[in-house]
Amino acid sequence: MSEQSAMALGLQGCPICTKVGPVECTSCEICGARLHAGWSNSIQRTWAWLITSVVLYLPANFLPIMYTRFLGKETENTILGGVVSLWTHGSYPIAIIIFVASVFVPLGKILVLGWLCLSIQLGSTFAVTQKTKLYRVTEFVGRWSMIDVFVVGILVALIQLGNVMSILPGMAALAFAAMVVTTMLAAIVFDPRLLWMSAEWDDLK
Amino acid sequence: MTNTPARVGRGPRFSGIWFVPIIAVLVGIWMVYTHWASQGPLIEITFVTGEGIEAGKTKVKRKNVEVGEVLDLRLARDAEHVVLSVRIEKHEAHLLSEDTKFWVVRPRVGKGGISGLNTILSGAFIELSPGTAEQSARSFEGLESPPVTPIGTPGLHVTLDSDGDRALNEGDPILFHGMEVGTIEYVHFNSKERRTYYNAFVAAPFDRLITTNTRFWFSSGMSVDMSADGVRVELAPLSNLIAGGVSFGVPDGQPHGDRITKRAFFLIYPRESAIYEKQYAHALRFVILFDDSIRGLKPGAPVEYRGIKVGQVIRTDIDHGEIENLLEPTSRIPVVIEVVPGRLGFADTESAVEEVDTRMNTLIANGLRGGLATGNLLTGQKYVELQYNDSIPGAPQTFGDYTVIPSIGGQLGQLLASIERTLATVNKLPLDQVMDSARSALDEVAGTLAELRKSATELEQILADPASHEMVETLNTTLTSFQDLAVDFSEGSLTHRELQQSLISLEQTLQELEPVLRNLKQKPNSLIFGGGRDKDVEPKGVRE
Repeated sequence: MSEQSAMALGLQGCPICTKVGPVECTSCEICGARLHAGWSNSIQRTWAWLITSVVLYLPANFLPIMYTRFLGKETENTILGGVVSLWTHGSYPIAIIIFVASVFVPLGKILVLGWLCLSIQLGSTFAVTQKTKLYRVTEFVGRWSMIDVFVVGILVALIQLGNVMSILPGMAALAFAAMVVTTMLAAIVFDPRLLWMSAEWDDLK
Repeated sequence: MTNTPARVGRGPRFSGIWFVPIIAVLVGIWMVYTHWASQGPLIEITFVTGEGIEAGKTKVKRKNVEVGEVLDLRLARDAEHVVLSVRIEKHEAHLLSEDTKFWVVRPRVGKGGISGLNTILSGAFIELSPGTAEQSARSFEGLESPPVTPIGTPGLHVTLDSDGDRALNEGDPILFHGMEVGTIEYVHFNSKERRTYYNAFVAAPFDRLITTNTRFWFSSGMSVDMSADGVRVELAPLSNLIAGGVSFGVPDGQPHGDRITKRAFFLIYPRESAIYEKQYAHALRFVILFDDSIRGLKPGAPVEYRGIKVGQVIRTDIDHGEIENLLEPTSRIPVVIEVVPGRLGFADTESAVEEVDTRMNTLIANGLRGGLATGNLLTGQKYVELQYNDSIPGAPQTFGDYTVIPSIGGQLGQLLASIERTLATVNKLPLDQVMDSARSALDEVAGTLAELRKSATELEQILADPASHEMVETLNTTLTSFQDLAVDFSEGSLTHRELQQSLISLEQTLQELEPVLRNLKQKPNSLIFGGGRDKDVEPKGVRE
């Protein structure tokens, strides 16, 4: 099967029901969803969300994600600080899980999406299939990076014993959740079809 | 569903979605800016120890409100101190002035009680006490212990000094009538002057109790004072017994004086009774040379003149150049005394000293002598008494630099002398004659007594005789009949009435007889010759 984009054949797929129709249609013949090629918008939007997530990534990692008050003594915990302290205490599996879910995955998502956008903009045709697969993995894995926010939410809800022991959420939890949401949005607005059309980028531009 | 043809063309150059990152960046920038802008000054505090202080955790508090945080903790270059980098919150930066104090609040057990217990759980924190100075500072030296009195507390700072053996500690109480009204804040020993200076603070409203006539004294736990006046035992409240302290007050009978508002200096008297002893600047010294033992006389013992303290004993040692040794038969014990003109009623001035000196010399020539007297029989404390004794001649001499007040024997010697004199008088009495006459008198008395005894024996015999018994019985009977008779004649009885009538008629008869009797009296012969009226007798006057 020769690699040929739908656009080149004058076709487009519905993003909702995947019906393939002529490119001239503005709405899907089956489900009525609005059809658009939206190429330039997609890249722009992806970039916008990506930049937002990068901006949010900084406070998410540098501000404390939660405050632990134990016997009147308050300590701040950042995500990386938690990973380090877990690691030094020998809880390697948990440290790895948190590191992967909270640091590696979001950062990886941002880098992958950024790379994909760049490669489209540069008109690269290198390993388009692998890129598409990478995008799918990225989109799938994104929702799981909320694990840290879940942990903080549960701890805050459960441990409220006043001065004896209580856990309070920090600004980073908010920033982190917003970052996860923005990376997911970036992944959604990214149109993988553009990977296949990058060869025709110049025309579309 | 109608399909309209798709619009083919370029999308908008900038999607509206770009607002999201722009807002995110702006918010980020704003947050960074506010964080940076709200960041207060970074200060350095030096402490001797970093015990309990943790970088990033230890807070700086003022009245339990957080005003800053320790960012960093490191050793000073000399490795003797620790230096804390502390970020003070911006809106509290005005608290940082030159005299702002910092100290670490840890659990402490002191004389004043236990403090900082809450820090056992929460960990130590640094307390800030704002200063009053205008000049702000960024580098501070932390205090090792909390300041006794926070800066700016209304009240009065006074400086007390003492050269006595007693010492006070920081935090010791200042008492007024036994009530704690202030504390000793700072103790400084001046090794040059050999005096201890205390900075004390009396809190408002008690600071108005400190007036120009106020005296401070050591309120000891217990003091036993054995002086010429007897034994005194003073006991203070229990807390003072442990901690000691300083009391103050105005001596009884003195005006309070003006209130003191600025830092003032006060001397701490060794005991309360000492505040009544007025302090005099001028005194004269004399020496008394004693032949007798001066046991019981100590420096500080009073010198009295007619019972009033006029000075005190200064020295009783023999370390004078004028005395070689005590074994010389002529050696006498020199006692240096001090006579205070102020106590004699003179002014406390240099000129009064000269005047008193002149007059004392005159008095010495006229017979002023110094003698030892026992003040306290129990302890044998002695004092020096100045008195007149013309019988001992003496002109003023000098001993070293001092004028000598001639001595007379002590009280005991004087007592012995007077007993001797009395005995001599007694000796001179014609005792033999007295004794003789007394003896004869006694003999007479003895004779009289013997006779008396004889009479008594006879009387006894008479009484023992049975005849006397009969006589008594007869007497009894007689008395009974007499009693019956008396009843007969008693008022209202027949006999009594008759007697009364007889008496009345007798009286009438007598009245009738009266003119006759008078006539008879004037002219006894009228009974025979009949009565005629007499001529009035005319007095014989001088013939004309």
